[in-house]
Order: sequence, then C-alpha cells, then structure tokens
Amino acid sequence: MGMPSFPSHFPSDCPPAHAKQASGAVFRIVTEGVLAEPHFQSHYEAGTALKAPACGRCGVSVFDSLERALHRLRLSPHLGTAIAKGELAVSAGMTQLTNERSGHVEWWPFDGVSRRSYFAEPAP
Amino acid sequence: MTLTIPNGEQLPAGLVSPTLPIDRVLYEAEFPVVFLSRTENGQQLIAYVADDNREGTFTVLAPVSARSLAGLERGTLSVRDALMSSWMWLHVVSPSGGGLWPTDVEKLSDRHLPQPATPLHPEHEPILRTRAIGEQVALGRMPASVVAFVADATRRAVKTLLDYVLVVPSEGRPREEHRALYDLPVQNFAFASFELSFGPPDEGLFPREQLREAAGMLERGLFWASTNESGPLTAETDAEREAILRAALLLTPPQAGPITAVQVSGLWIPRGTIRLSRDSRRRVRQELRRVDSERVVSYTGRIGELDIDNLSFILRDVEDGQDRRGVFEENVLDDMMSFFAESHRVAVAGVERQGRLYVSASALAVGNAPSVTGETDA
Repeated sequence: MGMPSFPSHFPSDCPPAHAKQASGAVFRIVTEGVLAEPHFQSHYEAGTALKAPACGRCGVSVFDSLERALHRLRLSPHLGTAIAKGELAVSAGMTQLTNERSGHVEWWPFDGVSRRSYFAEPAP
Repeated sequence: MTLTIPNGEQLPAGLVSPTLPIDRVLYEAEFPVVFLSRTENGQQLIAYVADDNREGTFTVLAPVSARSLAGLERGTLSVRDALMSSWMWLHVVSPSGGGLWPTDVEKLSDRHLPQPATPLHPEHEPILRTRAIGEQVALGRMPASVVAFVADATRRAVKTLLDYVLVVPSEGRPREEHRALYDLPVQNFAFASFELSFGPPDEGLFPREQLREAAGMLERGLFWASTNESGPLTAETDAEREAILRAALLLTPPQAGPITAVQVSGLWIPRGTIRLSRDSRRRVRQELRRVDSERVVSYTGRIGELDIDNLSFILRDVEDGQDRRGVFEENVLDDMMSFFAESHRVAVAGVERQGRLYVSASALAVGNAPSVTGETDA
C-alpha cells in the first residue's frame, strides 16, 4: 500500500506546511438523516463558498469543541440540524485550527478515506 | 432550503460596492461570517453571510452604531438583534448576476438569520436560556409572576443539582462562593415570549468536572421529561434520580397560570432546545412519587450552631433529644441570627429529604422563653 495522498483537485501547496497530522476529537455540523459520506463534503465538492480561499474550500469544516460547533450552528442555522462527534486519527489526513476564537478547524482528508468512519451518530 | 436571487426590484447601483469590502472581521469560521463593511458613502454596516451556496454568496447588511457594535463584542447584544434593529439589505454575489435588494425577516426565514439571543462569540454563549411561553406571555400584558418563575425556576433547578453533586453545604466555604454556585448572572432579556439567558458561575471557584456533571444531569432530566418514553429516568442511585427529577420539576410549567410551556437551551443543553409542557410536569411528578424521600416536618428546639456563610444550623434541645442539622433559605437568615443570638426556643418548618432538613420558615416557639443555659456552640 502506498503513502496516503490528497485528492488531485487540491492546490499544489495544500494542505499548508503548518497543518498537522489529524488527531483527537472534532465536531461537525451535519444535516438530518443517517450519517453518511455526503455529510462530509468540502465546499469544493459541494460547489459552495465560491469566494473562499482555494485550499480552505478543499477542507472539511469541523470545530475543536462541542460548544463552539453549537455556537456556529446557532449563528448559521442553515448549515444543519445536529452535531456529530468525531475522533480523528493520523490515517484521516491533516488538520489546522484556522481561528482560535471560533474554534474552526480545517480538515483535509486523505484521498479515499471514509470520512464517515471517524464519526458517531449525533444524539437524538 | 437555500437562498436564491430575489425576484423583486433591486436597489439602485452605487449604494454598496459589488465586491463588498471587509473592514473588520467580527466572527470567522471557514470564512468571515460576520464582519464590518460600509456603503459607498462610508456609512458603517454590519454584514452577515446568510448563505453561501451554488448560486452565490448571500450577505445580509444592516446599519450598526458604535454602541451596538460594543454590545455585540461584549456579548450583551445578539447578532440577530443587531441585524434587525433597523432596515436590512441582501447583497448577492453570483456568477448569474448579483446585486442589492431590500429584505426583511419574512423574506429571509429563520434558517438564514442567527437564532435569537445568539452572541457574536462562543464564549458569550449562555449556559442556560429559559423561555416561558403562553398566550399572556408578551410584553405589556405579562404578569410579573412569569419573570419571577423564569428566574427562580432556573436558579433553584441549578442549585438542586449542584447541591447534590457538590454535597453542599460543606464546612468552611465562604457564603459568596456558595451563592455563586447557583445565582447565575443574567446575560440577556428577550421579550418574544419571555426569556432569560444565564452566564456561567465562576469556574475558578469550583471544579469544572462537577459543573459538567450537574449540567449533564439537568439535560438528562429535562430531556426525559420532554419525551413520551415509557421507561423510568436512568440514574445511578435513587438519590441522584430524585435530585434530577426535582430540578426538572422546577422548570416545567405549572398546571395553571399564564405559562403553558417552557423552553430550555444553552451550552448546558448540547442536544438543542428542550420544550417542556404541562404533560412533562405530570410525568416528572409521577416518577418523583416512586423515589420521593421528602416529608414535611416541624421541630422545636434551640439553635445551637449557626453558619451564616453556609446558611446552615444545628437545632439542639429538640423534644426527642436528637439534634437536627439543616439548611435554610437566605430570607430566613435575619430571624435565625436573632433567635441564635437571643437563645430563644424556636419552631422551624420545612422538608426533610435524603436525611437533610431544608427550612423554609422559622418562628419563636409558642410559650417561648430564653434558653436556660444560654450557651452557644458557634
């Protein structure tokens, strides 16, 4: 098995050099329904946030705490209806805390990994 | 549902730059979500990205004063209130043609505005929001009892669980710290129904884990009360179950009166808003009967020890010869101090629960005379 790599649509300098190996608990805002791979699309894959920086658009948005994820959901209710907790491992890709105050973390998953597999179903 | 380019007439060009300048970012996640911008004439605007979908970027713009901005940054003004304080525009950047449109709450829908009372920053999120709902619960015709219910029910529910988790009263804890446990600071009022938002107690004073434990119990009890699940409330012990149910009961709407429902949300309720009805109250009461250790009691004796920091006392010279340790409400403190200082025989009334006496009233005993010994133990 070869070294894990990132999808070919990532810009050449993405993830940035100061991104870290993924590890630890993260929280993702998700929509209704049974948790599945489409819940973990990046803006690039969803065709959204067209003005956002290219590398950031390739990442999956997660938060470093439940409280901060809940706050983001209350601030922008259109993003979803629940919070799924994940436990990222080195095999998941790279991450970077992009804003300490909001707790936003960009997660760049390796090509082909099951993003869903790192997350548990949100509590009802 | 996503936002789409409005059908109505656009505002004239030249009011706002099509590229919408960002003067200062106020809240940023994967991109700036709330920021300051300006009109082409230099008037300051607050900007909120309401949607960013395949069709384009939809940003709500509204005027913002220096005072409102300060309130936002202190956490005393919610983002929604800042946006809705005057007129709003919808700024659209889209490959299929953007522009500027007048807008309002109805056109945007609640999905594309911040939820009520949401502050700008997560650290300003209240731990609890308690909202009373009812036909009469509206500004101008709302009885003062609604305000009292929301404040008291929340304070007492938190106190019930923190007392249980921290095994309060314990010896030697200063009174102000004791009070800080449950007398949560009010962060915000809202009159769409009636809502109070409560900030956290000072976490420097108490172990965070125990606050989390109490918060978890509160959520568990409220969620159980709000559902129709047939199973009993799960708890490790009957004492824990009773504490949770008592806290939940306090936050359920009374069977009569102006409040027909209560909504509880906030950081301590991570599963979202919990709505409690009068059925919830019946459900909690029914369950409480199975574990209830509470009984109404009245004792006569002499206050042998009084701890005004912890609002606790020991009643001595009781008729049955058994000393009683108890706690009392702050409004009884003056009487208790007077009875203690003058060594009067007193009658105290309240409830006993899990072996602890909670006094809600005290008075001179009938035929009272100063204690023969006049000794005190404090």
